[in-house]
Amino acid sequence: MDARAILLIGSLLLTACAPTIGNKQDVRTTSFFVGETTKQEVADVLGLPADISRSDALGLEYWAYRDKPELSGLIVPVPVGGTAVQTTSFSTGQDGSYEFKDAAAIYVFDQSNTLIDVRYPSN
Amino acid sequence: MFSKIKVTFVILFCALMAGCAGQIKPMSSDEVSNLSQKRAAVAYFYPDKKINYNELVYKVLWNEYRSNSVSFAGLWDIESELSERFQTRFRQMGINQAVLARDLLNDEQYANLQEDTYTHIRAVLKAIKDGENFPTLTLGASYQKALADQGVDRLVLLGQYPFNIEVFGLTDSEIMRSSADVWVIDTNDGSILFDGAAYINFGHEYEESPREIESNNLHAFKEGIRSAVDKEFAPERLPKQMGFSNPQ
Repeated sequence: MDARAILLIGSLLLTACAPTIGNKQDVRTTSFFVGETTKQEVADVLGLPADISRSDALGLEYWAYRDKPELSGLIVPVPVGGTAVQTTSFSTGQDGSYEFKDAAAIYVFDQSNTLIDVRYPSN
Repeated sequence: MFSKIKVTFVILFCALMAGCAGQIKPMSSDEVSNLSQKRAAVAYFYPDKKINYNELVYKVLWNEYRSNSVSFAGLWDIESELSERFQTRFRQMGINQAVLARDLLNDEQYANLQEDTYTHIRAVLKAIKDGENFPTLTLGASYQKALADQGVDRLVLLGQYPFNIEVFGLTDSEIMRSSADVWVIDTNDGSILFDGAAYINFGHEYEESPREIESNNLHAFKEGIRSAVDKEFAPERLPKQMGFSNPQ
């Protein structure tokens, strides 16, 4: 194997990956038009929300997005003597389910499925 | 390392499925005959209306599991669609007088049946999380009596567990795994005549993001679910599990 191949493989092994299951775009930097953007357009740009709730009295629907996927577990190599290594798994107790404290952005739609407000709870 | 983890996962999954399948007892031939001839109401419920994504993320010195749950509540009436799909498939399987419970119960009765099913599914999930024994399905008497009064002797009830999508970034593929409990209930006395499972599994390859499966109003996700339900009615699967050895 020549040096370039070894370098390429080495680079790949040293390149950490990022999760791909989060929102399609960053909710903090994505802009929509209040009074124009529809629910379907928000879903197409960001993906589905973490939670959907409704107020029948107000005729409003709230789409809550979290910032990024939750860390639910770790697999860590642990030296067990000599050159031997075994992996150990840890659970964080999180499973990706939504709680209000997780909301990074909340999009509010009226009965015509049009965006009427955006709120950023953590701000 | 990834392949070892995937193999371990698949083995654990198969062991879990085998464990479940081992406890399923088909109905007797008499009961199958009854079910073929009597009117049976079908209802499918999914309390979560969510898709749970899980991904193993390579971080050089360690690996992380990341999870993200998204909701399609109000965007797809999965309960109506799959109730109808299961009703059609059950008829083709041999439950010749399968009808929709929705068409026979009033709003309050149907809501109670839905809520009782939700309560059971959530209780099972809690029992799994807490390592406790599974609860027994408990159904109300009012909607069973309403069905029995209309000559419907059997209720075929399906309760869906969460849709979990495992993402394998190295291969740009994802696998959806889930199951639904399937019960056949005698509406005259509430006894459970069959307690089995329908496995809803399918694979999907994506181009850039595993969440492409949600695009175009959940097109690929819906198609995957529909196809998985249809496959579950292959002769050696749900029909065999229920005791329909010669599905029509």
